[in-house]
Amino acid sequence: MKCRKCLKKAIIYMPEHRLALCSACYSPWFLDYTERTIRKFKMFSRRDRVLVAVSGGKDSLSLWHALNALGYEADGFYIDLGIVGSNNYSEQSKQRCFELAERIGRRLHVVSVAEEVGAPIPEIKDLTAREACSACGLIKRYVMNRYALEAEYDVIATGHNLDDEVAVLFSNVLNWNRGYLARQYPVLDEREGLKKKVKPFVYFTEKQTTVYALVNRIAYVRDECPYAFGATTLSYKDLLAQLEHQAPGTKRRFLDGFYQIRALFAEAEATALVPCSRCGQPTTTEVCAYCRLVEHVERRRSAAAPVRKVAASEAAGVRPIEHEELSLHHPGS
Amino acid sequence: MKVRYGQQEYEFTERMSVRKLLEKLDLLPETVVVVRNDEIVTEDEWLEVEDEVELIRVVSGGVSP
Repeated sequence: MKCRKCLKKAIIYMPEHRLALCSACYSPWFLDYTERTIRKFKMFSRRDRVLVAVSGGKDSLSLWHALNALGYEADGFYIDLGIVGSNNYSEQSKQRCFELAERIGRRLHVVSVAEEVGAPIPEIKDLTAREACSACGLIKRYVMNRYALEAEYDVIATGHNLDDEVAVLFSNVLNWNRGYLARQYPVLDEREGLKKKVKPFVYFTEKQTTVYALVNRIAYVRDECPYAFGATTLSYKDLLAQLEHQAPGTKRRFLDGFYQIRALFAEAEATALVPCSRCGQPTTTEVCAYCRLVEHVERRRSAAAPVRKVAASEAAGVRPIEHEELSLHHPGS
Repeated sequence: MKVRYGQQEYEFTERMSVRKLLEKLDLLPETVVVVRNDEIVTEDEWLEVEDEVELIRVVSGGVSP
């Protein structure tokens, strides 16, 4: 198969675009498509400060790399979940983020769930009735929003891709989650204490973001998060991959079709947001879900260990490290 | 031909197309990137017996709504 642009040997064929490209022509096409998506949905401009949520995976690191290649002012934000597993998952993920930060000369902000909530994700999972992915999502959304507000970024960008979005849409339709459907869009404008959030990779498949990472030699964590195994999203993705294989373009049509009728669910989003009585962040209840989670974790931990354990560093009179000090700042940024 | 897919390894003694290999392993082309001797290849390429092939899974999960 030959590249449609230069006739060299192709490395990827994208049936939904009827387009084959070689390694030299792929990145320029990918960057151009990213730029067009940013403009189509009016996500941000080159005057905006963008905070990219990076996990160490292919999508978010490719997004950070691509935005910088396009000349956007984009810094990274990594949340250390404290997941160890068989492969030291969180440590490995953080390392990949630092490597890219150094390569592209941008700042990487790091925040730890254990410091923010009082326990890492595996412990939170054990202490609460929540699934790990659910607690993780809640904490990430909260911490990311608060950090972007405090550090005065204009917009938060995430690496969600077409496959992610279609799998979530499929799940939301199956369960008729009208509130989630109302909020599923590549741009969520800033409102009442919530920073603007965007998904510039919404039209790329996972294969396309993987190929971008490989072609640009972006080192990413290939291992799956140990808590993702058996996640419902994965079974939906398998199902949707079969549909796409039989009829290329199905996923894109499903998503774009939904975007056209999304306004039908707007009423479900009409609930007013009020400041949380504890932390001041926007919520629909008196105390936000994040504060309730933190409180629950604190209560369960103190019930399990009535005598407060003092960290070795604290006992030795060492001041805890502030978030900003964990940031990697490069002269070029 | 040696084929690596995650933690699994396979050995094939006959040349075949990438498409055929994926069929044998019951994988859809949309779910993997095929790397032959450090070079990404499309489904119509032929894999020789001496080739080293890596199949990189592209699907990740655990997305919250």
